[in-house]
Amino acid sequence: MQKYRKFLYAFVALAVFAGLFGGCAARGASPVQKSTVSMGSVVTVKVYGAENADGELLANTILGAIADLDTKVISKNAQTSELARLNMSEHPETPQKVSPELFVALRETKAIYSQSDGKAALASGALTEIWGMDTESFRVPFSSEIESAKALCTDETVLFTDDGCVAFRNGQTLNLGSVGKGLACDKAVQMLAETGLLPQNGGMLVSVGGSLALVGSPKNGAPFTVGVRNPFGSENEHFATLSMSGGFVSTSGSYEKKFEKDGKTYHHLLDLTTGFPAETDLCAVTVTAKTGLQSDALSTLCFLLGEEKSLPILKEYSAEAIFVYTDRTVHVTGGLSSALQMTDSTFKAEAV
Amino acid sequence: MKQKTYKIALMGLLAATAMVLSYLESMLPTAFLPPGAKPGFSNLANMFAAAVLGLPSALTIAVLKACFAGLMRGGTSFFMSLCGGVASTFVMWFLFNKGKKLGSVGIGVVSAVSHNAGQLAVAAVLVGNASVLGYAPILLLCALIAGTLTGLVFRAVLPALQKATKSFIQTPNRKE
Amino acid sequence: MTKKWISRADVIVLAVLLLVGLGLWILPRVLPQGDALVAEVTVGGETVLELDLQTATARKTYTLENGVVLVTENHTVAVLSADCPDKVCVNTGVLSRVGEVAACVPTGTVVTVKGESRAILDGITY
Repeated sequence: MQKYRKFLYAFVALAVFAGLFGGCAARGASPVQKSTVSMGSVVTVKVYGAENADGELLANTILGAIADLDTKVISKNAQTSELARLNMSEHPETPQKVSPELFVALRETKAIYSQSDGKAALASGALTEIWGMDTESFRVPFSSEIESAKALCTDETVLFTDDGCVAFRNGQTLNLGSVGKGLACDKAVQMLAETGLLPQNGGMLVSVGGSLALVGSPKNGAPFTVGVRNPFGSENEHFATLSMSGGFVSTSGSYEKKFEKDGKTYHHLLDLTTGFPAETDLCAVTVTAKTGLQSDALSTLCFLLGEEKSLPILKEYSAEAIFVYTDRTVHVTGGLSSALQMTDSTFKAEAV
Repeated sequence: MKQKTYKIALMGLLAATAMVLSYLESMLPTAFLPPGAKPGFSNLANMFAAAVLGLPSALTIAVLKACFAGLMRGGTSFFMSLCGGVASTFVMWFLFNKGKKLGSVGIGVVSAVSHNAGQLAVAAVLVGNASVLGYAPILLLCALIAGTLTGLVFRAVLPALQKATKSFIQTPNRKE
Repeated sequence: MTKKWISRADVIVLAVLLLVGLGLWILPRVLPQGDALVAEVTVGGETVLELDLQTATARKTYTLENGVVLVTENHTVAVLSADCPDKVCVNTGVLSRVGEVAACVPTGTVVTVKGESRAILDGITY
């Protein structure tokens, strides 16, 4: 009996230690998380299931790559970016060679927005500038300003050649502002593949101002749980969650950037055919798509076009969407219904 | 026959002792103690009974103590004391008579822990919620201290008790 | 009957139990708390009240049917008073962490702090 007792005590002690260490290890599975501010948004990288050192390296690499993407390639404001210099060309009608990365981004954005009945365009810079959207010094432009800017906001005069050149009319300003976050998400996934720092059973979540890239799994093959922000609530409030095993999500909403003047509220999603913020019953659209660029562009497109016209376009890109209306009704496209779980009973969801 | 009568008399004395100790314990201010923790000196009588009188008698004393608690502080106290008392009595009897390696401290501690375990078990049943186990860590830590003290006191008074009861019963000698 | 005060086996038992006790005591204090603290109140096993501690800032009292009075304040909950002889529940004090419990056995009341894992999001799209 005495001998067994010693074993029993040892076993109990081991069990306790195992439990404690197991608990600590499980906590160690909490992700490596790093954030910076880039593109005027908070960019966060979460790496799951990797060694701390790897996770940190990966996160830093991605954050650096996104910052570079902004300042060197797609930013409209930074003088150093390729796009800014392109916009400043003296003779933009003459096709100019741009980097493959920028070329693809510009061409795809034009392609997606070409289905917006003119409400969205790659060349939207003329209008976003007079509204002060780019510098966040919002103002209501004069009608004359709007008229002349509108004329410049058409993609019909933006042309791409097969050898990677771009041409557009003098006075136009090409703008990737509405797809920048999606592009950053794509960049993050690209860097992940290049560095190969993620183990097979790991996962990564990148958030660029609310546009997300999801890779792998946060834990044991389980999907990510993503909250959909409540447009009427504070920053951390969500009205639903999405269960996603990878992919890209973006949201466009009138609640994000807006300002008030003389008692009227102006949001930032401009309808280029009117030159004013789009008038709609929608207050937010969330889109899941195959690339970050697509999810970002399509969410803007859906917001401007409205649900009915957007549905066929979404199908074309194999994308799904959640339309949130100002009366708190929520319409969800078929492919997302099973992944979506409502968590706020003041919203009513319907499948479309 | 004489022995049996004496045995019963001893049981009566021990039971009374347990009740008195229990009463004194309840008079202690509880503010400085973690919730539910007791000094445990009332277990001294139980310990002696479990050590000397054999299982049935020891259990009887535990039941009597529980009844006393029930009369003093209500139905729940009865069940808690009963469960805790029975559990710790079983454990003590086993350790005193079969477990050769443990000293008084060890027996005191294990009996205190099993007393608390029994109480938590019945508490969980009574409230219908296993969450009461949340008290387990703090009770366990207190049981270690209380059990150690009780064990030491028991060992200290043991010779005197043995001497006093020598005429009552033949105590089985144990190898040290 | 033992003549030993304390033996080697005793020390082992004490050490093991001490470790177990400390481990169990530390555990709730190091575990991640989760986003939404909720105080679940059960009487006789049935949940009678769920208090959202996340939004509980100003002092608020709740009186149960069995006479137990709870108070929430500053994201914590405590049993203010109860009709029981020992007042163990009241003496348990203030609960603030996931896993902490205050129980009143005579009235069958248990207050447990739970963390809603539902609220643990990997990310949020906005």
